[in-house]
Amino acid sequence: MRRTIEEINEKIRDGSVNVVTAEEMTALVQELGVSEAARQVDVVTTGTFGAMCSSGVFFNFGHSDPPIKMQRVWLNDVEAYTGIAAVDAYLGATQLSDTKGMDYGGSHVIEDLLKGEEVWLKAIAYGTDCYPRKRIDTSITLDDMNQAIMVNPRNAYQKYNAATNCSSKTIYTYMGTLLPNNGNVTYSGAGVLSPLSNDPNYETIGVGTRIFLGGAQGYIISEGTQHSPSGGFGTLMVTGNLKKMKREYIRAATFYKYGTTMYVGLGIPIPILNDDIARATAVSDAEIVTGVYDYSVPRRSKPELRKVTYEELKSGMIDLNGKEVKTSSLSSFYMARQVAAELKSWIKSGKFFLSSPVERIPVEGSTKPMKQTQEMPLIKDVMVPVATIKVGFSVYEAAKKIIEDRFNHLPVVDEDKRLVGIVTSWDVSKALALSKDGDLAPIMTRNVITVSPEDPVDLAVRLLEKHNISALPVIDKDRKVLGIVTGEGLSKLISRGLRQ
Amino acid sequence: MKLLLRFNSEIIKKPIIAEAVLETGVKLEIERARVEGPQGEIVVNVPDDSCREVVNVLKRKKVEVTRLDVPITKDEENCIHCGACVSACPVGAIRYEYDWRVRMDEKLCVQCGNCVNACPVRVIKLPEY
Repeated sequence: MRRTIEEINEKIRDGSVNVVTAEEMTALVQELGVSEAARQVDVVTTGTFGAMCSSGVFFNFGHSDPPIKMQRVWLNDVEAYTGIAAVDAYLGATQLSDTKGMDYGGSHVIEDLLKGEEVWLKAIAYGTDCYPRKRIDTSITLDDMNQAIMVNPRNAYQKYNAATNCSSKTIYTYMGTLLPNNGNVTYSGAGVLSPLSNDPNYETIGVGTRIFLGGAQGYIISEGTQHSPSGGFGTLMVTGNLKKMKREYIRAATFYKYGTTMYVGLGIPIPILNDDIARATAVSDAEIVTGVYDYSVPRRSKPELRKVTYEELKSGMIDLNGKEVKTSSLSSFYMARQVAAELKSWIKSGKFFLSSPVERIPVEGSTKPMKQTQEMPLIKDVMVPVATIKVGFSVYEAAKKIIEDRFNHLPVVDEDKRLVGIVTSWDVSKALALSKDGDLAPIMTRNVITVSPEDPVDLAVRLLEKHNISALPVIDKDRKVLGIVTGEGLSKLISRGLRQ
Repeated sequence: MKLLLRFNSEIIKKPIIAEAVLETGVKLEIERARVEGPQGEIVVNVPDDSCREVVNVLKRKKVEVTRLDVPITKDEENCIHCGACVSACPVGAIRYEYDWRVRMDEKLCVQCGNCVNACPVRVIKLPEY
């Protein structure tokens, strides 16, 4: 079987086109086989509705009188990039409000504009002969703008990592709240409905393809940033007219203690031009495989715990090292279905025609890591030796040791030299001042925050700040104490670096 | 009435519960307490007739107070049914329905508040006192 996009568009025009969603296609191919399904179906619609950080809008505000060449501009206190032309600016979804922080960001401005609300525009400038104005304050709505063109550098990830947390503390990430000790697994992506997973060789999806974006018609500009097709992690750069979009499909979001992002509804029609394309659109959740990664390791390469299919992730429970762990999605499968269904209805009712890509996007290649010209110091480069004390000793003996070693922190270890707690000179002084000399155990902190020698120094700084503490014991895999890093030591290191 | 008290890093080291008891003379029954990092949470049981007085004192001391007799609510109209709350719920009170809508069973909810922060579109609310 072979058909062309022109033939499909002719069928859309005369109302005889047969359109199914990617989910329906999977079932249809299982029932009828590839060739029969390919013969019957002209178009398969896909859809996804997930948090897509790399999104934003180009605005043209129109000229004021006297005119201003904006040097910096804010919409509801969220800064937009205006290093382009006098009254053009790009507002990114993840830019945070100067006053409200993570509760309000670029995505919230975009959603407010879609709701028809007025946003407060403030701009400053240095003033020129042709643009004398130095400041403007006004309120503006979407209708007042000349253009509001959404350009999203990275959308529609083909699939995405699943996340869990192997540490003993809750962490807050762009994959949501991850509970301690593998308390949950989060994932993202529409699986069976995912646009790029339904055309993994990017045969029909390419530069210029007309798509559903935010409830309006949009287009693919190119492959997205960080496009990594060799591992099955393709992405798309897309554009559309914000003025025609619907708030239902563009939603502002905040990931707690992470920042703002935007949920984008995006759908792509796949023309069934031959049996191979039909076979690709029959992909099921069981065939889309991703990895579960430990997000408590704040490094570029995170340990992979296991491979998992979207079918397993969607079942609500997966096995991690013999333990049943609850899973939940960050993207909305309910809304992904709405997108695929709405696109289907547009095509059936003759409101949406398919386009051939004018250029293909790369089908091979992977993302490179950043070139770093400066060595990143590791904990092992900056840690210093530290005295330890065995559990069972008294507060008095700890005090003596602290004075001898001139250290404010004294890790407490067991018979095998494994870390079990820590006491500070403050803990000891307080105990002695209250005449509580006796066993060390009751006054020591058992829940010790530690680092390993291979961790980067930046992690130590982050942990010291986050937990409001002044030192971190360095331990190996067996919890044996190797040394210590202190806030004081790190400050010295930083000031030394500055002097060099 | 049960109240959830949240203490931020500024006030966590102050003896606020003791002060509140001394100032109001009301016996506060502590049901559970949890400290994580620089923040803390305590659930207290307060006699209904002196609740207002206790809440006023606590709020003056910058404690965030939440009533636990009113269930958590989810704004269905604005929910995007992603499910970020589903695995954050420790008691399985939030589930996907057959059509992938997310539904909350108020009867099972223990008002821990995990889902409130987990919700990216802020449609889940614990009632503020």
